[in-house]
Amino acid sequence: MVVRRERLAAPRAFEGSPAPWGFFEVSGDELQVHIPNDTYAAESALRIAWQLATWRQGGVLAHGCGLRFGARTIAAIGVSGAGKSTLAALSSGPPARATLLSDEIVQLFPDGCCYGTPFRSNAENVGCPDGGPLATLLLLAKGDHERMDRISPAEAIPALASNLYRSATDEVRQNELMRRLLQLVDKVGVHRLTFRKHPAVGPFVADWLEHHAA
Amino acid sequence: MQPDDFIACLAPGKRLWLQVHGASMRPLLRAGEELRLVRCSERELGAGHIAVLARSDGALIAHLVAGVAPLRTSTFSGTVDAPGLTVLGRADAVRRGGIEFPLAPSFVLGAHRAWMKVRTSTVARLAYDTIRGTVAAPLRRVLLGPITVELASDPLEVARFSSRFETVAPIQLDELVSTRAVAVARARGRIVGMATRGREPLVGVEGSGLGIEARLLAVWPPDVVPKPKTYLVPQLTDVPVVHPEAVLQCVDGRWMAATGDDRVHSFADATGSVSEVGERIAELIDGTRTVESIVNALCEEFEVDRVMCEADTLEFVRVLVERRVVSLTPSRTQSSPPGG
Repeated sequence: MVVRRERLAAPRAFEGSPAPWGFFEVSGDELQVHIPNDTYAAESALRIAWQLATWRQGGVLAHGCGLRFGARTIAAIGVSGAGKSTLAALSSGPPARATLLSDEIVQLFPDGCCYGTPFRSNAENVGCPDGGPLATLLLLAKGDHERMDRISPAEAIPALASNLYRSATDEVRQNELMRRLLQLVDKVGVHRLTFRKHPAVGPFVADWLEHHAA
Repeated sequence: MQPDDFIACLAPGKRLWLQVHGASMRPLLRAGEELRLVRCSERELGAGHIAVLARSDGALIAHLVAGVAPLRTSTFSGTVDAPGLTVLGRADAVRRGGIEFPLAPSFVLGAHRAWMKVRTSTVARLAYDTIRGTVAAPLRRVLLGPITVELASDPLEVARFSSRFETVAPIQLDELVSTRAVAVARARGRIVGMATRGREPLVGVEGSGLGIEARLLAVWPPDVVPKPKTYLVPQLTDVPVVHPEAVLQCVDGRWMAATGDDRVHSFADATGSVSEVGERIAELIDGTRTVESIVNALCEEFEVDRVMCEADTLEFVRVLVERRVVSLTPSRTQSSPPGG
């Protein structure tokens, strides 16, 4: 996918981003953008490029934090403030030292794989474009101790679906994105990770993956 | 920092005004009104209080305290909340149209009981609807005065109004307002309704029932005018197929449907019990079987009376059509008015 900056004839506006606005057009493998000299607008353009590339490879892009503990990968999906960056910072540091894929946006595929992206919500949480088969998807909750509970797809899917990137273009229909998400949930399942703001969460997740994940 | 984190930092007794979203406490509280939170602990809550709680995802809710020890909260219509909510405080006043009204527990409990009576008694419901229709709307019309509909010019004013509706997706108001794609209904200088091109109108409680939706929709005919509903009556010869905007799939051993309106449907009732027959019907909807052949399969697999099975299956398919999970083969569908 090539991203080119130029003036556009019939542009679409970026969705959901604060001013200054950017505009884009898609032509084959080229994403043409008309943006101001602004880092936020440039990042928004790159997010759309990542979204298109992920869709075209059969996956979905989600607001999520990806972490790899040894050979096992998890993706915690949630809105800003759900605890993604906290989990990322606590797990990638000592003592767990998990590999951070991204604390902001992850690529998810129906075959059960998850990959990182260059996007981050916190300058210190630098991810990597690595990944692999997911052990489980996670939704996050705050609590006074660490615990992991399996949750039903009926409860989890609305929460997961609301965190999918979906509106850049019409080239993938909404029900196709949902089909990919449902296949992924069927493949890897969903758990709720309740945790406190404490480095113990990293070893807890690593231990859980070691003993409970399939 | 999330709102619940911020509130949790407040000292006991501190007060904070919060805006009401959603409809779970209607008609006592309505979207756009403001609630005064008093920071307190779970032990200080009693029946009739309106508890302000945080869900595990950080979202705030204000629900009626239906019982204590253990704490039980519910919507104004009596739907009990699942456990796991964190108490942040209670609401002791509501600000409506700039005027503060205290929320005394005895008043709240009385209003709740009266509302439950209205919901469960046909006579009370009829009386309520009659009073609403003959008194409330005409009074509102007098109080609001003339309503004008115009294209919006101030994105900030539109943003303030639309923030009362939590269902509003993030929209580029600057862009929409500058391209004249937002219409607003205004009374006494304030916005009481708005519509964005291609979206359903949003009308505040102060303007509901006054026909503002129709006037807003009339700004951009015909693309935003909702199509009249067609009531499909499934026949045994119809072939149900998955709706083009839906996906029907088995997830973790259970059948689920996701529809174009972003809803996820499972085949469980209110208690969480899954309908085995309902799931089997979902499984049998493959785009080739007629409703009759689905009934045949069900009669072979389950001990059911055929007449009952036909009626139940047709009703089940009708609900799936209504929820846009499936559609029927067009050449074999039949339209009729409601109840026809």
